[in-house]
Amino acid sequence: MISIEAIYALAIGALVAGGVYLLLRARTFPIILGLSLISYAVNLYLVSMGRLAVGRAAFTLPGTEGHVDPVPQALVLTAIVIGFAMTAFSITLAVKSFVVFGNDHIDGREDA
Amino acid sequence: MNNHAFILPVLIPLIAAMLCVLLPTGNRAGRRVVGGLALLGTTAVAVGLVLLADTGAIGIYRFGNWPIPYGIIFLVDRLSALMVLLCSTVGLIAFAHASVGPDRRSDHFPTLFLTLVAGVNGAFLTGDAFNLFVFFEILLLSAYILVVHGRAAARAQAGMQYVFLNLVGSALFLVAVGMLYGLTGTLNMAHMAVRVTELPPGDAALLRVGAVLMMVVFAIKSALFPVWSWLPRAYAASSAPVAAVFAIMTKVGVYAIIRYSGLIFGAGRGPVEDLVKPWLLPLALITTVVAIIAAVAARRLNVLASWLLIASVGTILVGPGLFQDDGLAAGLYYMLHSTLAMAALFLVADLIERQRGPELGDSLVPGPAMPQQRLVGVLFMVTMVAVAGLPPLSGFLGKALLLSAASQHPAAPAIFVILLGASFASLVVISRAGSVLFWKTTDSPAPASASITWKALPVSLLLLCILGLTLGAGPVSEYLDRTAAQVRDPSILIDAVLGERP
Repeated sequence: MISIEAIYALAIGALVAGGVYLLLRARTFPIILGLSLISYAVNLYLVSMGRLAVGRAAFTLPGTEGHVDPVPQALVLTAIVIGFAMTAFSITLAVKSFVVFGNDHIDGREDA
Repeated sequence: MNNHAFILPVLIPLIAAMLCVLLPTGNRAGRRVVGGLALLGTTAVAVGLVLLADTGAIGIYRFGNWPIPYGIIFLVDRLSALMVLLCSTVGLIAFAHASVGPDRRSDHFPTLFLTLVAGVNGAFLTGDAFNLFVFFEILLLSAYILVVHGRAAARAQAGMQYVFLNLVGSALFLVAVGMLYGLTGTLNMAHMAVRVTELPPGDAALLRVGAVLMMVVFAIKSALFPVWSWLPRAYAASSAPVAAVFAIMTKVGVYAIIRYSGLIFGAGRGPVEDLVKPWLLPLALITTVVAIIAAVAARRLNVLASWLLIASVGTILVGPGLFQDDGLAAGLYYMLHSTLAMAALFLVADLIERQRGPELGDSLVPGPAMPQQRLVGVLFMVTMVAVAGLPPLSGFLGKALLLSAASQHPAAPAIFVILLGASFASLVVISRAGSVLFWKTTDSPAPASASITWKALPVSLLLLCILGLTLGAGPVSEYLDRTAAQVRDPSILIDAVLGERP
């Protein structure tokens, strides 16, 4: 039986691998997708830093036993919001560069 | 009781930025006044913070009065107060340069500029690892927009590479922060410094990985070899006041390296003790050498200035790379000088560009004599003396302090050769640029350009600051000696942060 940690780690690894592959395409749209994949991987990774646990409360309530660490969840929330803003900005930038150069290459030159 | 003055260097620019958004479209004068007043106020507060910090007290601001280590804190010690003062001063002068005289900048320039200053100040003041990430993102987002701000196509291209590279850097930063949190269970920097000593030996390897990732991120931010490739294009493509305040942005990385290698990865910190020690000095020296070589090949004044900026970052990091109190103090002194000097060089390059007209711009080819040749020439020459580190200005003193601190170091021969060689090479490079720009004039008529007499005022102010740094070298370096002693002793911050209970 494979453990939850192993599945989790494999999922993060797959996301990062896909993200890096897309980053190396040197086209704006794949790069933005790649950056999004990497930021998903990082967010999953941050959640796991509070240790993975099954069947625990998200926060303590009277009568519940034990709870998961709330700090990583707060961090991830912040990271998601920032990542969202960054993605929006990169898309705007990519559109602007497409308008300026007429192609979607990161160097602005089709032959490069 | 919280001293609310500690958060003013972030709060004032942020509130002013919001006011700038609220002003009606086209009201540029109003935005200039609001921005100028805000930056003036920030600088005044920063002076107060430096005076307060020099009493030796560690100022702590607890947001929401949460007990440490649960709440986020701001830390004001000698180092962070000094960095805030440096940032506010350069920001104020660069903003003045942008605001004086005719300008076609858009309405939103002041807003972005102010959020950038707020982000940089926040990064200097925060005492929390994740909060550092947040302020990095604030300053980066403003910087991204400022780089691509304007019409030039080169900006969109340089901006794209800058943005994507730094987004990857931010992802690395998050991984590093997450790893350190997962191991130590805290984000408070002082608390983290305590917890790393208490870890079980089995976690040591993972901790070292997290720490190295963290330092790599800071190296990217300070444009250290070999992760610097984003800087020259982005800085050379951005407008002068932006590039001038970017001169301080690399110092955020420098500050973070100094802070983390002094506190969390410093002496007596168990498995991460002296983690950066074998790396910092060689990387700093390589950075200086390669950047100077690249500067020789530059064909435009702004590119030249960007490479010299990287070279100066290398020279600064030689100071902390020595891992001695006097070395760190010397590095800090050189940092004060070189930040002001590099900002001045970017602003002077802008004056030259304006005088030569849009066709020649800042490219290093002979052109007609500039209409205000004498004024620009004098400014360029003084800036050149400052940047190359010649006497009588403070760059010379900074390098002399660095060399005297390094004289007992095992790597002293290499340091002497590289620092002196870099000084000489940058002198050659800048004087070559100067002779092309000012002496090899063609007889063709000069292009009509607006008078830059008023624009020259902020640059002169920067050069006056350098002069002040030279004349006040005694008190300043005494302050920096105290700063270095404070930074390199982790127990001072740890006791101040964790010893205090609300």
